[in-house]
Amino acid sequence: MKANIPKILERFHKITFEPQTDDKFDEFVNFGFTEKIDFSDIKEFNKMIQFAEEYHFETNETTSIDSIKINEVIDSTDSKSIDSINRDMYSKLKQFTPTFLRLLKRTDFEDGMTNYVSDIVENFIADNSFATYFWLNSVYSDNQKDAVVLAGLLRIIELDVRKGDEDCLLPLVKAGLADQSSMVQEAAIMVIEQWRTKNSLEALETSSFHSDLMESYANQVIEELREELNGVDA
Amino acid sequence: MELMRKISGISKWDGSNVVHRDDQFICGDALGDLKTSHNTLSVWKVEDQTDIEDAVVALTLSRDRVDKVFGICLDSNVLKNKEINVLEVAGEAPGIGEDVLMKHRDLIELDYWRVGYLAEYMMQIVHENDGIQVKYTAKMVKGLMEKYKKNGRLNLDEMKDSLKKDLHWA
Repeated sequence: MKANIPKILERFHKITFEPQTDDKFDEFVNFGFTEKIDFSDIKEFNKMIQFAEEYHFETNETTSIDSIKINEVIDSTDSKSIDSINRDMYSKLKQFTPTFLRLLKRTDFEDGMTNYVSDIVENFIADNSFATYFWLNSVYSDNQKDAVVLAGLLRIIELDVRKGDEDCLLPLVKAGLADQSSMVQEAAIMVIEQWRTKNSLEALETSSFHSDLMESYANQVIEELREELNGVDA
Repeated sequence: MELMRKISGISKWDGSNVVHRDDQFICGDALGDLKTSHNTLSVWKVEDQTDIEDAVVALTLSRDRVDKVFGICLDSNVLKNKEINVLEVAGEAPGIGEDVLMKHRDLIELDYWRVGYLAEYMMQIVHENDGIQVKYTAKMVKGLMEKYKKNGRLNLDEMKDSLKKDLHWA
């Protein structure tokens, strides 16, 4: 069942937020953004409210469902409206960026395992993929010196962006392959392993790596893709 | 006996992660792959190629998505010399039979020194001996999963839904 948004907002407006952070923050954000919570279950709903009331967080890091309302119905095909909807979504995502970065840095990415940060981004993509991809690009651009953020972004892309939209984010992955950090390079190769397209193969073929082990991994993937894509036209 | 320990990041072991100090040894990030639980560490007995494939499938069954599986093979005699003991403990992997799960082992009673010895030994294997011995790309893992499914070795009802979805089995 979907969250009862008006009811949550009503309760949220009664809460006084104060600048403070602590370990319970993640838990609260997780509750706030997941749509999998059955809010008809009063225990679950109260638990979330309890988190909000007991563990306040910085007001400038907008996290309320009010600001990232991702379930708006798009009922117009007018290009101006679509652009406006995309810009609105992008603007809301930008507001969420500081919180996102903090969550990203705290997340332990394990091969093949999803986590709540990847779940949040998956929801954003499901709601408005182009605005979300644009936002992911901007987060990458703003954090070019932070290998933990770059690797985390790429791990999320590997988990959430599977087939069809690869080229929208390929420049970001290519930048990851050229990064000075091995951790970022590895995350970028993992994305290409999932995408398996001709363009991503070319990105991999035109990259160089910081260690023999990483090069060996990249060559393994290149060999597979060449065999797989042999005869496929650009 | 050989025991396989999975590693999560090549970049932690390839020597590129430099600690900026004159007396630097193994980078702290590598220890992230040796995170113990109740002072134990999970490994899989791998005597031959079949054992390695079983271990790769078992590790994959615990995941949400098909991804690479890389691992380092440890000689139990070397571990014994470092007083690292091995205990037979059935593994946990939804959807695979007991014959595979019984190949799981725990390295037990690990303390500060034992984890350090292990990191040193693994780094030595990677850089002086065979490199990373177990290297399954996502495609190879997928192929292995298909093979086990075809051979009736997987119970699809018990498998994680997220993994089945990623494999297009659900």
